[in-house]
Amino acid sequence: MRTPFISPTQLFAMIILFELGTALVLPIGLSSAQNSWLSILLALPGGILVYLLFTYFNKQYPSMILSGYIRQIVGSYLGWPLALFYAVYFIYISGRNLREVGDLLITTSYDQTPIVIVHAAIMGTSMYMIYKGIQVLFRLGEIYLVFILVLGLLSNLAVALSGAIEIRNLLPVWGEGIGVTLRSAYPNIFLFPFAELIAFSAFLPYLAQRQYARRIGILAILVSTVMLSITHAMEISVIGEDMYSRATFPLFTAITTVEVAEFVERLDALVILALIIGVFFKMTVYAYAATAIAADIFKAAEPNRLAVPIGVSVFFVSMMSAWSFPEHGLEGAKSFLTVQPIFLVYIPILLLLVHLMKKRFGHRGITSG
Amino acid sequence: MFVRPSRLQPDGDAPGPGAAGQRAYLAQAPSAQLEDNLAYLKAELGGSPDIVFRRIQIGAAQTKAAAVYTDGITDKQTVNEFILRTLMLELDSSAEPGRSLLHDINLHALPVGDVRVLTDWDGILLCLLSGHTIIFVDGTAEAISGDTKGGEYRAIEEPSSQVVIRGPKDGFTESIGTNVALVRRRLRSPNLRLEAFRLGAKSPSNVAIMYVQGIVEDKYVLELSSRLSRIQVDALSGSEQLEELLADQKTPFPTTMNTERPDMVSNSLLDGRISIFVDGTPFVLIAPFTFFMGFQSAEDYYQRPEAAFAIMMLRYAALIIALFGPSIYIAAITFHHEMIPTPLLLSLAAQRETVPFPAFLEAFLMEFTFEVIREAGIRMPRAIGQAVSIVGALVLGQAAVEAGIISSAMVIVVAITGISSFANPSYNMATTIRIVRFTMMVAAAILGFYGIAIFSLVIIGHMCGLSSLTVPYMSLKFPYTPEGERRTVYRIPLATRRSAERNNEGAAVGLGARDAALADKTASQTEQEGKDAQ
Amino acid sequence: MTKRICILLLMFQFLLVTGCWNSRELRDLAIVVGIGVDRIEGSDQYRVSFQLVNPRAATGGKVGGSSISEIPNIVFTSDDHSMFSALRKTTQKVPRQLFFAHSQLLVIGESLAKEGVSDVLDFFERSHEMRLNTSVVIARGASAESILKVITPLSPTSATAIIGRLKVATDVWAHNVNEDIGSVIKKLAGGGEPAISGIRILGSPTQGRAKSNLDYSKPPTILELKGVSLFSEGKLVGWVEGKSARGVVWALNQMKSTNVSFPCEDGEKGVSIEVIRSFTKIRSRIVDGSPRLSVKVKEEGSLSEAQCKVDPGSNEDMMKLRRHLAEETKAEIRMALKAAQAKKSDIFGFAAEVKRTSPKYWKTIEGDWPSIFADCEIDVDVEAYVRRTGMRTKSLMKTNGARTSSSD
Repeated sequence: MRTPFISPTQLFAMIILFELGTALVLPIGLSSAQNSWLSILLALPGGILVYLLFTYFNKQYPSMILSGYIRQIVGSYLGWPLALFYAVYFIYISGRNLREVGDLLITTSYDQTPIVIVHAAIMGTSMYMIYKGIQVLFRLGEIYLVFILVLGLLSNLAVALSGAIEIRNLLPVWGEGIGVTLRSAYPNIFLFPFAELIAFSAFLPYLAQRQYARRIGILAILVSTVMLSITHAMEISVIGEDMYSRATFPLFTAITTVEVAEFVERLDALVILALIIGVFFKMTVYAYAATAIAADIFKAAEPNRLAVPIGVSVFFVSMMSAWSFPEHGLEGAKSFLTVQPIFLVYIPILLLLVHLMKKRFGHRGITSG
Repeated sequence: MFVRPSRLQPDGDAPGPGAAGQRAYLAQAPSAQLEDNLAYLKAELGGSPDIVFRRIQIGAAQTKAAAVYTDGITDKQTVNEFILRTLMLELDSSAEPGRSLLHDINLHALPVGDVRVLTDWDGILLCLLSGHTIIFVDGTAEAISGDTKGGEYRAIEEPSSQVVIRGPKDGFTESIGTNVALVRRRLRSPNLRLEAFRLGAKSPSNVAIMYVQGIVEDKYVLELSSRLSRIQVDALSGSEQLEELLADQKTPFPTTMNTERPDMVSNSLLDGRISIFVDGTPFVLIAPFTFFMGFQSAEDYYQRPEAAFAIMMLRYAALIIALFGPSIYIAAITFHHEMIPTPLLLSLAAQRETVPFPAFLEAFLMEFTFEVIREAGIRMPRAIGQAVSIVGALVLGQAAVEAGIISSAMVIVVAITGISSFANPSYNMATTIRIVRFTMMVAAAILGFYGIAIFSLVIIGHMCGLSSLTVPYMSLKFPYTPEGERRTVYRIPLATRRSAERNNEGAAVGLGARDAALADKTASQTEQEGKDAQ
Repeated sequence: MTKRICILLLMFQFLLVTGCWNSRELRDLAIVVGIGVDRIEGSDQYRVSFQLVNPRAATGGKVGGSSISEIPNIVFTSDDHSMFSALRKTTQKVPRQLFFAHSQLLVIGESLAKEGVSDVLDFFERSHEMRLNTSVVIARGASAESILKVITPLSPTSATAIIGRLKVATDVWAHNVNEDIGSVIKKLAGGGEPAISGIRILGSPTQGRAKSNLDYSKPPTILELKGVSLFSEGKLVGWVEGKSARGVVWALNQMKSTNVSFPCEDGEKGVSIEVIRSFTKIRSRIVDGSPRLSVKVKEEGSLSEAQCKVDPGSNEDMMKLRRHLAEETKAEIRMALKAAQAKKSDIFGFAAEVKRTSPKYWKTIEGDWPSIFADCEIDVDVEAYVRRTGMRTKSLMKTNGARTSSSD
């Protein structure tokens, strides 16, 4: 197999798509409704730190993905199950993302359509892309970034032209105080969508010009943060704090109020399109990360072949993880406080500490294993 | 059991002597007896009446000899003037019969360009069947062939499939020699390389690849040569078949470009692409081909950059309509009624009150009928073709709407889609888009916009996985220079165009050759440039 | 390859067999353009009316060459405890599926409005088919149902007729507001009160239902926008009309254009000024533990009619016009504020403003806001400019006021 390579532009595109993914449409940073746009900006440094952590690991173990250096750092016995947990975790998150797009589609226009079909359509596409390999996936990302940007520009323009924006809805800037804003930034927004960048640890080894990994990644995180923040600020300024905090899909609600020149109405399709695209890439990235880890720890010769089993697992997780969408949300909120930080923050930091210790107190650890 | 393609001399026209015969009964060389040779040849060719055997006596010794040529593909005047006449009347050899007579003929009596001494039947047959005249001399176990290719060919005409308003009007013909010459006339560069291949075990065809050394990346030439050498077919019916054989993956999308226009070939060569000529077809292939290249027309180079850019954007818009037009209509009126502005929705609803079909079926029927009319119009003789379109327009457009079977909105959608698909400069791309459009309609009928979005992801994903001669299909950057991207996406002014030199060897020539090609319109200028290029 | 094709075909088959779930043909849909909600007297049920549009009649469509003479406007009603079940109940009467994404108007019966509208609105907010920019009006002195049943000239349905009126009249006359469901909800949730226009029937409602209503050059039954509602704690408590209604529009910063006239100095004839641009800011600050509210208006107008001697060349006259315009505006806004304060109805969005600027203070008084608002002192400050005088400078009549007009 030829080593696939990812150009810096492709990495840039994919990080943006990944970050925007679901965060664009779902309400994020639940507790500080009015200031969520500020919370997003506040969570940015944390996001960059997480990314730097993984580029650091990538520098130390240039040819390995997450599961590889986990085993290098903590040894095979502990590392193997840990890596497996990560694969399972990625499958779970991928399934959650799928559920989110499925539920938006069903709530907004496909109420008669069975959830199986809605999920199967997008999962099938995702599996096809995983099967085709990351090179193709990243090329696709590059094209769709342009598409998403045009979409975003169009819908923002429409909202601006319709005169629905009331900037005063954003006041007071600090809302219920800096404390609440910060609390929603850490851990909520920090974990979702920033710390989720851990999935990219599966792609960093395939980067063509590795010296750009850091710069491009940080730039992409910056750009996507600004886009997210602007979008959420726009949502709040259009539908007001109260409705924003009650809406299942605030962006959708905000866009439905748009009416330009009595002809451009109901731009909901644009939102749905943005979500489909964003979620598609996000869940595919997760599913691919799971595939890559599984291929690594089970020593599969052709990781592409794992597309089907992993895809089917994601599919079932998405259907079975929760009975209702509110439960799904609750589960998400709970896991943010319990399970997710372990995977997204604690374990990586522990890994880093162990790695640094090994590095300082003898090179034995790195070379063995 | 096949003739292995071999590299020939760069003129690419005549089969070389190196084509060693492999069929057992052909392995033998001609004998020294003239009559044996002639009898053998007659038997081998099944006594075809278009093979002419002219027995003559030549030289001072009046040695028996024979000239054999195929009627129709040889130029009779050349045969008469430069072969028969010189052999019979002007050959004045005092040497003894035998080998040296053949030598004399070769050196003194054949005033034609390409003369070969052939020692095996395989070579003799190939030469004979590609228009050479073969001369056997009694007592010599060798034959000599003179190039007398000619006969009736279609003249150089304006290309019918790719028409431009302003720009050169010459098009390729069925003769590979003419085609190569048409390009060479534009690209007066010594770095223009031509490599010849012969493909086909049963009926070998001449295939030639052409590139500009120094501009093209060597890896593409190597890749293409090795792919050509690996091809095993009985006969090559034209460049279309080759296109399929050279594809990187199985896909409905065209991965090589075909053109009838020498100027497009020379432009592509200067962009670092390779062109493939196949004898017997006026369509020359160009590879590597990327998706966005399919939306460039030759016309783009003969217009102001601003106009060319605007028209290119128009073509992209037409592509989107041709791909998505009916499916968006279906999705909007069966799934997403809320997106249609109220007055429009009311008017659509009023039209559709009497339509007995579901929207998808209605769209499918109309699109289907449209494709049938179009196909009938193309295949019919021109006079009847018009009748077809009248029937199509009147009966389907007018009557179906008036009868309330088809809504007039549907007719508008189908018409816009149809016209948009004609705006595509590349015919085979347009055909693929038609196929995708129909599948897209099915996706739209099943899941509305969601179906369209998902199916587009699949299609674009598929396209991202394609490559043409290992170049990613969706790449904007071919050649791999910043300028390449700009040139693909929009046409940059020619004044700022620079060649994409690859290595030092070709660096000196690139610019001159390019200029020569660009200044083709004015003869005086070309002269000068030609000298520069040398 | 064959295997792959087989799988594809199978998938395709599967999709076809299970059908197209959300696919709905246009001819199976009944496009609802107006919804009316009434409270049935002496019961806890709603009467929900749906105004459907008959597309063929509405677009004057021709089928097979013969034109159709149907009424473009059909109303169905159902009674039930909840909006959604009334809606589903209606399907017994309508041969097609009701489709709401194009509903443009919600008419609320006056009796229901007096009881409070929040309960009804949840459905409109939750449903994905409803639009939040559906306009809302309150039926005055009639049921919402009867409003929807009126057949109106120049537009296919009464809903579109009312919408047209709302848009045009709000833009050029400004005695009513065009409030949509989204902003009603926003205001109810944010501590303020919605300001909704009233609509009433002039003439006989029964006659208005018949197509014969269109047979007269002056239809006997017509609909008219009248007044702006005053809500308090989500319930309708009164109306403002005329100049105070315009004051409301001014204070709400919805003034686009209107006509302000005032008498000449010497007599009963008057001067009209067309307001062409107006911008209102409302502000609040906390002074000594109680809110101090203010309304600031900046407006521009042009002279559109002068029935007495006005000399635009004289600076003095122009200043006079400006002063008159500002005073008139101020007076109307004050009237509006007074009327609203009397009913404890904060329709101007002061609540949201206080919440924005002093969130801590807001927390302490959130529940008492209506009465605090009623006692608040509100400053009104108007800055008016008269920029142009139309196509003429001086008035036609030099001395006495014969009728003149200058077009603009």
